[in-house]
Amino acid sequence: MTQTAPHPIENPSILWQQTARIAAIDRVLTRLAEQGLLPPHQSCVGEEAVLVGAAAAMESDDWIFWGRQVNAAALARGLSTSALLAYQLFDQDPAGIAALKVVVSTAGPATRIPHAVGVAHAARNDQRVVLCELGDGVVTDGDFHVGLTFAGVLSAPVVFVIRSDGQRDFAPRGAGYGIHTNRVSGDDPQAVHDAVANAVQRARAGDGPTLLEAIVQRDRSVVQKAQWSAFEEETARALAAAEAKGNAS
Amino acid sequence: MSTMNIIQAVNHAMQLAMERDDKVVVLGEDVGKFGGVFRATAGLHEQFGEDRVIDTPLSEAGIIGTAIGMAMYGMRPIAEIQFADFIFPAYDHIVTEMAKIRFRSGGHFTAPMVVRTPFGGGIRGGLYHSQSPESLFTHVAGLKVIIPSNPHDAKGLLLTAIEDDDPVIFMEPKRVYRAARGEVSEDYYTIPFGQAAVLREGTDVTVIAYGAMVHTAMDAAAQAENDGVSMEVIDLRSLIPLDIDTIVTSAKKTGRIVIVHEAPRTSGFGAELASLIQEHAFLYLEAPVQRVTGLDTPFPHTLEHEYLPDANRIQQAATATIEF
Repeated sequence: MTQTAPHPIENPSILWQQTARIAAIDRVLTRLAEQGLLPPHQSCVGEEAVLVGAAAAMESDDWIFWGRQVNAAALARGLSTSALLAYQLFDQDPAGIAALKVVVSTAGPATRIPHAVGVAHAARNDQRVVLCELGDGVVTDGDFHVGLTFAGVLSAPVVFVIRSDGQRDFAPRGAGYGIHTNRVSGDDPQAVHDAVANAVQRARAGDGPTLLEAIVQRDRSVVQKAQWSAFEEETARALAAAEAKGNAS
Repeated sequence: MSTMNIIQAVNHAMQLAMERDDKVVVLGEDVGKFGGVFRATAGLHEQFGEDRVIDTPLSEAGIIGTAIGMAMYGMRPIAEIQFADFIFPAYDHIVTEMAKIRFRSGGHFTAPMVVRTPFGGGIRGGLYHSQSPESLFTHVAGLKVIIPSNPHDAKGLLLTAIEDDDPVIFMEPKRVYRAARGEVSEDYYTIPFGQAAVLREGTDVTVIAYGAMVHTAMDAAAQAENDGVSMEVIDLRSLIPLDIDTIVTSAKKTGRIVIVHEAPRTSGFGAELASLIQEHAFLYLEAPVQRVTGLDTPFPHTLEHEYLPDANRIQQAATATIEF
């Protein structure tokens, strides 16, 4: 699959605005970490559209498993930017995020996979689907094999979205686990959203799990790549809003 | 009332719990159609179906990892690990996730689940079917560790474990799975955690044990009586939470303590007990606390009865406290 940058953006959609916000928050956290004010921050540069698009595809009652990346899922479900920053900066109020049915798991990159499968298996009677957001580092972890094996055997309604550099072919892996696989460009939140929404529909219909590979390039933000002239302006606005809320609270 | 062994009592507890609450499910290797490697789940698959008695792939990490997710969603899974020796591939999930999810999520998510697993030696199981890893779990904050020694306790404690809103490691002494028989009520009943049982009252020396070693301790007490020594035997039943009051009361009465467990001595649960006893009853002790334990070696292939505590070793330790 060749990488094509999205067309220049003139009138950003809500998804692109959220992507810009994620990029801005990520930039702030990265900067603070570089200054030694934070522990190392796991940047999502180049991956922002995947985080936003995947989270946006879920219904509010669906569960989402997330890692250490900027929590676009909590943001999509109404967590304020300042509350999110407080969480990312100080680990404050994890229950605020948990109440949104977003499970933050930072223990290991793949540890959350079997848990996501368990929730999905338990939730199927309620027509709920689980999103399990992952990075491509998980493939070497035993829990990747364990979790996908159980997902396939239980035909669990779970969608695995993997931010991937495209260097691995997940299709034969998925076939081995009895899991449907698909690829999508990770540069466009709408494309990610649509692909995840399709997988969610399959899962909700009882057609089992999907492993969706979102191809990303981590050299720079997708917002910059999209040649969106308003990005810097949008970023500045998001930062100002975050600071204002932070000062207010 | 009917006479049951521990397997039957465990089976009956799960059956009652599943009849009462459809959120209770059982999962593990061969727990379904086969009825479990020790037959603990026999009949459950037929009664409750494959959605509630789930035969899983061969992966302990998968069994417990998946059960954690199911528990987070509100089910009450009972995960069977065929032998405690096999639990280590799931240790990350137990320590990092199961024990911590309530704390990590500010109390929003919990893992109301039970991990049932047979443990201990004396069945010619060799290195990998005989170990006693209880202190690897008592050391993990966020876990409860329950070890019954008889059918009545196994049933009541397992039902308490299933009702508990937090994770419980339920270790079953497989050496006495069938040998320990007793009268068990067919009704639904629970036994509170954190209550040890004084199985035999005595005045000279207190023996503290759990699991299969309770029976060995009772044998030692019977032998000692012939020698004119009055042994008190405490069955802990619940390691975490621990009934420190019963232990301290007995320590203050006899002034002499022998702790018995199958697990290796170093960093075993006996070390914790000895430490607590000297903290709470130092001035009452007539002798150093004795430990009768497994050896600090891997569990042996052939010399398991050299390795395991027996009544003679317990009696020798008791004599040492008396002659100190």
